[in-house]
Amino acid sequence: MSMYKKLLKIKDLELSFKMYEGMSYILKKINLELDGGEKVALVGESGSGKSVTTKLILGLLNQKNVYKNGKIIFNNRDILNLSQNEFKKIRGNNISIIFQDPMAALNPVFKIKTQFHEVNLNYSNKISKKDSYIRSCNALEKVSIRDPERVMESYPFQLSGGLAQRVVITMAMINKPELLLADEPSTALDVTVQNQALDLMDDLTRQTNTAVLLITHNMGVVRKFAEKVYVIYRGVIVEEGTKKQIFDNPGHPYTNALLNAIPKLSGEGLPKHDENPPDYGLIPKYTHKSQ
Amino acid sequence: MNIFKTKLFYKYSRNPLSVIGLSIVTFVILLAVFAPLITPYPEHVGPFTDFANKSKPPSWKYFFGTDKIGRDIFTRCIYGYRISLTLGIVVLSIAAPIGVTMGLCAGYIGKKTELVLMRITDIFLAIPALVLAMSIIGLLDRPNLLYTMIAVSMAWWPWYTRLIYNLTRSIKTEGYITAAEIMGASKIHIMFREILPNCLPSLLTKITLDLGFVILVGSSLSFLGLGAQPPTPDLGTMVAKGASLLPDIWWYSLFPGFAILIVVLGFNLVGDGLKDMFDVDV
Amino acid sequence: MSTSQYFIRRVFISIIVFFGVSIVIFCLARLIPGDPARIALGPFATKEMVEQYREALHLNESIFIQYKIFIINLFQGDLGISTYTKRPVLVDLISYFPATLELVLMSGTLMILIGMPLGILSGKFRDTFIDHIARIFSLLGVVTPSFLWAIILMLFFAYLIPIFPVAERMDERLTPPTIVTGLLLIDSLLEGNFKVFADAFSHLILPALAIAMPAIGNVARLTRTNLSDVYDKQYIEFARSYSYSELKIATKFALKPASIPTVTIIGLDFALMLGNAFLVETVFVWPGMAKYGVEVILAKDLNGIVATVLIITFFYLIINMFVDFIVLLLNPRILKN
Repeated sequence: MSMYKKLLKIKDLELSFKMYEGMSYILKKINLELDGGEKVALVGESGSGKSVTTKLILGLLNQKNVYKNGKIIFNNRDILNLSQNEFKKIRGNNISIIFQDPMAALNPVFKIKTQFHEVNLNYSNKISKKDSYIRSCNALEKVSIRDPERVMESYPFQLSGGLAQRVVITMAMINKPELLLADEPSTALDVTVQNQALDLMDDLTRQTNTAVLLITHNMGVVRKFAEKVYVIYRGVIVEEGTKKQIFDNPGHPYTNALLNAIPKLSGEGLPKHDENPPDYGLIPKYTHKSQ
Repeated sequence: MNIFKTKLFYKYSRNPLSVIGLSIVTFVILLAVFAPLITPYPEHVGPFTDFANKSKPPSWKYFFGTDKIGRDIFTRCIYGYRISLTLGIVVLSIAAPIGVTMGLCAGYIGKKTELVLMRITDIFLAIPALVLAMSIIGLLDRPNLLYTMIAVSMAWWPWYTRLIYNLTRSIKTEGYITAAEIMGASKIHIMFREILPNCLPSLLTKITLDLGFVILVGSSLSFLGLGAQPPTPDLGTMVAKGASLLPDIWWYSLFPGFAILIVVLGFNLVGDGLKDMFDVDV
Repeated sequence: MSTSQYFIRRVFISIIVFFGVSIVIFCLARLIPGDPARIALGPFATKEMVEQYREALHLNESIFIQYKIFIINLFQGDLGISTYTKRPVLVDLISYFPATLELVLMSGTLMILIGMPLGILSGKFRDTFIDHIARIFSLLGVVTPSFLWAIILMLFFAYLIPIFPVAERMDERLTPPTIVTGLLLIDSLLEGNFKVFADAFSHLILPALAIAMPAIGNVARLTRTNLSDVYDKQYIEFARSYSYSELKIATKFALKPASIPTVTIIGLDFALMLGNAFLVETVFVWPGMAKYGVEVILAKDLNGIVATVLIITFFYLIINMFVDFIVLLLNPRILKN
């Protein structure tokens, strides 16, 4: 097995919201592990709780009606209940995040250079605007953006979707974080652009040995990108294994259902609509044996 | 269809302020409709004097006190609601259809129509509403309620044109409009039977809010002496007549003033509730 | 489109609109029932006098020629004689306009200085006690007519707790500063005369507040909604995920996008305040354009009415251009079209 230290270990994580109608249980004792430099996918459908996991890792869920339990251990430190001040040191520095729509993630009324500068401040809070500009341009050049000055001086609406996504990925990686959270990256863009973005992510994270936690509902993306896979259904991990194990030998019926939903080139068509799917939550978790 | 059982009404009633607003509006309407039956001195509305009882402070006999010539202010306020509500309804019955039609035409018929109609609208919008209404009344021979209605209508219709124009522009790109065009529907049909129904939530919200604001503007006009003339009991006129008697005879100005406040508040709360319920922006 | 192109286009449209307004108000003024000459001269004038008057004012010519003459006169600064004050209308305007200008500018300042922070507080501390108080205050501002605010403020601060005066712009016993701009606050500051400045301010504050209250309410409510909307947007979540300082988010990254619709409303609210000025100046006996406007309307002084409408419109158009320019600074996307 790998010799790297465990970068991220989520242990028995629970999350519930107190609503007017009662408690809503979102995550029910999640367990997840990530080694340094490892690429892990968290797959599930909408509402399974996968996105909310990233918010917990970054400490972005602090409202009054939120109840959290369990441990999120990052670099041997439980970060589940850190103060906002302490999170500030981690965000943008040790842990970065990419969202699904780069246009929505960038503030429409500020130039790219202004937004980059804020990210650079995480690297050194005394960095001058000029140095920040140079640093950003260098980073943009490294991702094959040939005219970084034009991009820096632009507003987000002046960039194409693909270009914006590259900018966001660059922002995420510029401080060489140890962990990159990718929340359905590029789902809002064309498939070809999505492909390029994933390639870019792969490339950069390999260079910096950044671990990636990829949140997605798309098994195609999982197959392309992940080393290890966790399948989540309604707040419960129902299967975990390596990519090969999951795709060759899915153990849990829900994983099967997900895989069957991928359209096939062989023209077999989609599986017949199951009128009475089993309650996947009742079927216990399937763990592949480690190899 | 029982409106109280619909999902929309349920959503509306989740907001306590909206419910309060609706109660206020209903209350005011009932007061106005049943005025002769509720008020203690309906004869005080017409030409009536009782100098023995002039300028009496509020009491059990005269709830809001009496004015300079002995009339009961409470009665006159309730009848004043009749004037205000009539003003609101009439003005919007004129302004809304004109404005909406112009907006639909400007948004849908063509570039030339759009240019002409919207420039005219811009011209009217460039004059602040109160100023426009005031000058129209001022240019007519003698201020009265009818002229107030005409003047305020002329100041109000451009806002409907602008609203409907903006809505039409975004709706006309929708698929069902293209479908109707392909099927050979006439422009009139598309404007009034396809586009307009989709404007209804915004339109209804705006009309509700405007009922309050028209009353506000109307009372401002009568405050200046440009509205219904005495002895007609108009809330704005009463505030003006009482203003010179301040601060000692405070009831003559304040009660009609608060009456105006209450009715405008009611319509405003209902309009806000509708805004949240329909999730629109006017 | 570049900034200067946009600017030129806006000025051009405003000029067209202004001419349109002049046509509308001119036509309204000439199409009223009744003979303007007879109204101006009164019921005791003889037929010859009326006829002479009509000739002098070209009232027998076609409406197009009358309008042409009107416009030519307008550009020469001749707005006719007021039948109410018996003076040239232009002179009336010059003597009364500064008072209203100062009042409206003060109201605008109050609208921004009170309305925006109120809305920001409301939005930041959503659903707390502060928010509820602020919202009630804003609501009352919006639904209460300006003349009622004027009366209430008068009762409160002049009679109940006598702090502020209720009429005129300045204490008669003090000497006014030398007139540079016509705005007492500025002129007294230029002279270094703080006593007059304080006095003028205390005379200004109540009427300005009465005019501004509905606008304050509007701005506060809208700012609150916009700020809430913006805080829910993903680019703010992104900013938090990248450790932008919370203070910077509140004062820069959330505020700027939220300000855009607010600034637009501020422009519209100036129209509201210009209208309210007519009511408040009457209550506070403020020697301004608006009070003059009310008087000429009641006296059926055609020239006065036309001039009042034109100058108010002109003022409003200038404010709108100014507001559009600020929106342009805040929102770069406008130039895209």
